[in-house]
Order: sequence, then structure tokens, then C-alpha cells
Amino acid sequence: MKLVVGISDGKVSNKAEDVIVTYSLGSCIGVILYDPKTHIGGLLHYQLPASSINPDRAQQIPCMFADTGMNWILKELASKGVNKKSLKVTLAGGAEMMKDKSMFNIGKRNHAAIRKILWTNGLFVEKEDVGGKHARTVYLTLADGSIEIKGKSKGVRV
Amino acid sequence: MSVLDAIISEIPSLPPLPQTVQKLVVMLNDPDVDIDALAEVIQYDQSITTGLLKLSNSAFFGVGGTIGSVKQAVTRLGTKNVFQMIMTTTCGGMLKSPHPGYDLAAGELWRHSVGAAIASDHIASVCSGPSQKASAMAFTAGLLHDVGKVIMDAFVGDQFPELLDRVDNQDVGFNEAEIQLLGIDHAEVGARLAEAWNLPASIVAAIRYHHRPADAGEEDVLVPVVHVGDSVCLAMGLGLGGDGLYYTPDTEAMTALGFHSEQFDEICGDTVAKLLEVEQWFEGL
Repeated sequence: MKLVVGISDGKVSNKAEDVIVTYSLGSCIGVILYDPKTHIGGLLHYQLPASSINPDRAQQIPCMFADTGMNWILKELASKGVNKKSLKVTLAGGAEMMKDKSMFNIGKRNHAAIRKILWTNGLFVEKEDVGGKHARTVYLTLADGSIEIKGKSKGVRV
Repeated sequence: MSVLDAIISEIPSLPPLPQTVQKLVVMLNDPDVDIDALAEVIQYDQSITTGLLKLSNSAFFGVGGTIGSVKQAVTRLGTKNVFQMIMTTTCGGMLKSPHPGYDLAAGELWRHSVGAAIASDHIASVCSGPSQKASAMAFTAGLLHDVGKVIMDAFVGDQFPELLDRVDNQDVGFNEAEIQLLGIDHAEVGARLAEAWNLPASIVAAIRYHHRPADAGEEDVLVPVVHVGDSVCLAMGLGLGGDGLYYTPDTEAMTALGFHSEQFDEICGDTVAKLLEVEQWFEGL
């Protein structure tokens, strides 16, 4: 089954027939987590680096922010029996507008935030397709953990 | 005929906004608009009335008994909600179809446009300075800011590799590349459409200058609102096409609205939260 992850959303699955997809990542980041031992995986599509700007909203929509979104998805994966140490991590997204001078550059800040959170959790990025100025769509196939990242007007990466 | 002439000659081919909608845009600019007068204008338009009643009775709004008349809908849901429903249903057809020239699948330009409408409406309601006065028009201006792409779609497809080469290698925005290669950009085409539809000058300016707010006049108070609203949707990846994020944000627009730079994250969060809520409006329509 195709599981679609919207913006500020996340999904996990332990079913080999599932494919998790998220469309149109701009400055948002898609975090793809997969455990090759159990074939359990998940995808988080968060939009902003830090929940500190609106803790109430983070309660309602935890996947809006890098920190609360990662807490949510790691808990979901653990509840399905995943050992965090087995997870392979791939990142996609974090695009930027042109000549962006510090104000709108959410993509860079999103990328810095997730690197820090992953490091704190003892996780390391295996592959990433981050930055640039194009939209991306990501597919995770649960059966074998294969990942496809399609850049609009750029073709398939990773 | 040059490409530019061909594009301009296509502008009258798009069906105009219904007369009812043109009247409503002007009426709703008055915050003290009379509900009876509003209902009277709407109820003579059968297709708008049908759409409005269907939406009013949908799962999202249909609590508290069936809504059977335009006046009931306006009283129960408020003039602002009713107007936004009418605008989105009226413009839905042309925006929802696929636009392969821009690599936009069915529904993607619609999602981007509704996102920009919600963002612009929100920005106008929380900003300070002269743009506050324009809040009644902000939703419509946001909704229609990219309407020029509906016409341009047939012309950009062949040029897309060259357009991308310009933005990648010559450091120009996609809108500037459109001007260089086609003689006009989607913003200008959209502004001319809005003029042909007799929309107010403030909305025309917001469409025309949404990628270059610095060129607008001081009286064009909707321009920074829609520029920031569009930037929110680009950053959040709402309905992005092959032109992606190849546009330049203008920090002066944020300043003109009385915002600090850090507030951009808050505006993005508020917009997406609202979008997730109102998307339910249109489910099943």
C-alpha cells in the first residue's frame, strides 16, 4: 500500500508491501529512517527547525518541527520493535530560495537542526540529497529499504 | 507572430470571472457591507449559490442544522468565510487542472494558490502598517497571484531546459528568465488577466509585482503581503513546479509589514496549520 506523508506529518510501517512517499519537499526536510534487520521504517516531513517558537502548536502537530517530530517518529519506531542503533538515516529537501540573505533560509537552518538532533541521538546520516533550489519527492520501499529521491526538473538522485 | 504576441493574444481566451464575483470583490472591500445586499447579489447566480450551499453543508461546516439559503450561509459562517468559499470554488476549475509546462500535476497549482491565499490573509491580519487596510483583498490577491501560469503554461514547456539553464548558470530568477526568453513573465500575464476581469488596482499590482516588490508603488500595500505569502508557500513546498524555489525573497517586504526576520518561521507555521484545517473544506468538492 502507498502511505502518503503530508507536510508536518510522519508515517511508520512494518509491512513489506508498503511504500511511504512524500511529495514536494521545498525547504522542509524528509528524514527517512530504516532498520534493515527488521525491515521497519518511517518517514518524517517536518517544516521548521525548532518547536521553541510555538510549544502549543508542537503539542498539536509534533511533526511540524525537527525536534518534536524526531521524538515522535523515534518513539513510533521503538514501539514497533526497532532498536535505534540499527537505523539507517537518509535526508532529502532543505532547498533555498535565490540570494536568500539569512531571513528566509529555512532550508539551511532545517538541515543544521536535524544534524544536531541526529548526533544527540547517536545517529549518523548515511546518504543525503539536500540544498539546491528545486522540489523533491521521496519514496521508501519497506521490503528492501530502497529509497528514491526525485528532484523536479533534476531527475532521480540517490 | 512573436512568442510575446502569441502569449498576449491568449489572455482573452481564459473565461472571465463571473460578474457576481467581480461585484463581490468590490463590495467586500467595505468592512460594513450589508448582509442583505450581499445575499441578494449572490442568490441570483445559480452556480455560485449551489456551490456555496454544498460547501456550507459539508462535513466541515455542516454542524447546527442544514443551511438552505444564501442569507443563512452568510449569517452562520460570516461574510469572510462565504466570500473565500466563493472565490476558491470559482477559480478552482482553471487552477486545479494539470499545467505540464511548469511540471505541475493536477491540483498542484491549486494547492500553491490556496496556500498563498491563506498565507496572505493571515499576514494581512497580523502585520502592522498600511498593509493592514488591505486585508479584505489579501485572500483574493494571494489566490490569483500565479494565475498567469495558466496562460504561460503552453509556452514555457518548450523553453524549460533553456529557462533552467539561465536560472542555474546566470543567477537570474525564473521570472526574469521568462522575460528574457519569452518577453513577458507569468506575473505580468496574471496582472493583465486581472485587469481584463476588472479586479481592483491593488489586486492587479499584487499580482504584477509579487516577484519584485521593490518596483511597486508605496500605495500598493498588498504587494509585500502577497510576496511574503508566496515565499511562505515556496519555502514550505506547497505545490511546487519545475520552477521550484528559483525566486528571490525581498527582506524589505518583511520590514514593510512590521515583521522581524525571525517571524518568518512563525508565519510559515501558522499558514500550514490553517491550511491543514481548511483543506477539509474542499474535500469531496
